[in-house]
Amino acid sequence: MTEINVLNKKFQKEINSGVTSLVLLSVMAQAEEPLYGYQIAKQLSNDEQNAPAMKQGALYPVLRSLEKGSLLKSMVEPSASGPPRRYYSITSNGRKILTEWIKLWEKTKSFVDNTLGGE
Amino acid sequence: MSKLIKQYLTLLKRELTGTDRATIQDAQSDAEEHLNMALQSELEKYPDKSPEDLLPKIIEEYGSPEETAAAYTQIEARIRPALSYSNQTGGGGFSRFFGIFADPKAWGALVYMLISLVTGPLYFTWAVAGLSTSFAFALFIFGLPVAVIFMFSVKGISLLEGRIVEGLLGVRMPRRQVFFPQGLNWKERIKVLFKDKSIWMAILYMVLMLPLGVIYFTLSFSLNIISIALMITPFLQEILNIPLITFSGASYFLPNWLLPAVMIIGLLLLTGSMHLAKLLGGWHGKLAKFFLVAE
Repeated sequence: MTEINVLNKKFQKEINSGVTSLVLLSVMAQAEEPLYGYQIAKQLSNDEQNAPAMKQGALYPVLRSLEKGSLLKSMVEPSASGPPRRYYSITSNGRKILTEWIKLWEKTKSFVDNTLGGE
Repeated sequence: MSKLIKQYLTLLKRELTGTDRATIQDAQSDAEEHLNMALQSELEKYPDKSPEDLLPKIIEEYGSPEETAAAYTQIEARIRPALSYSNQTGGGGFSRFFGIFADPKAWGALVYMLISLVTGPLYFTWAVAGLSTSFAFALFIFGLPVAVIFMFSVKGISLLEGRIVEGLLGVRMPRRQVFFPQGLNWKERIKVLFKDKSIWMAILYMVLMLPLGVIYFTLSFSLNIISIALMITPFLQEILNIPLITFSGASYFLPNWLLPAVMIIGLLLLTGSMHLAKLLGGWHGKLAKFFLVAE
């Protein structure tokens, strides 16, 4: 049983590592104002009842790597209580890439679905 | 700040030992921000509970220090080549200026500039000789195989140069050959080969490497030699009694008061030339990427 769990966890992690960028980018594209990490994480856990087991901490490095690729931009703002917050928003390049990624995702999805259905 | 959050940050730092300092800093500030925000909003929801009651669940959702550290290192490993881990972040102007000696990127660029005296002319010779032989032999039936072999060799060389550039300049370059279409007859294959833009770009790069290699080598070599000469002048003059110049029997020495200044100028020049090497290395990395990486 535990061995299956370990395998499941590993597989889920592998799936997540690719999908997270797409999900985050699309969340940012839908956002009307800049969001900080906790808001994004909250939104993801609120939105989906059947959200995959994704640790919130794993979102942050992805946000930073998206920023490094200039798909997102960020600015730090001091908050009245607690540490300063980093607000993220999508760039125009990010929007362009997102439409590409959605196409890729559709393609991958139908490929996987077809393969699984064809069994 | 709650004790549990502090503890988490310390554990996270420990898990990340050995990674780039900037990454550790990023990971810690992300965690600090998130855990505090989450705690704040949970406290508003359950005002009668203490942070110590609420934090375990928040941390569970955020992920254990090991899990979070793994997420950062995984992404770092995916997006950055080895030498792009520049170990200087922050610090004052002084430590940034002299910190260049601890910067692997500057040393990598220096080595690249020095070896480009060998690789540059080699690439140039191969490209020019290959092109002209191919053209000359095009009159004969065996001209075509020569051209094809030359084209394939360019593909190999450009991959190799890419490995050198990535290793020394820290710019991510291709790690595999570009896929060559299978199942074509030899006529179609040759057509594909000759139409391949990346090969022509690579040939251009190889030709360009002769002047660039000479410039890189001359710059780095002469600047380093001059600065080292300046730095050891006091020792030569005071201990070994070697004059600065000997001219028609007369020896000229620098005045003593000038010696410290000469040493300092040497040191500044050496440090400056390391910065120049790093700058040129970065620039050449971009150039190599433009010419050698197929779109």
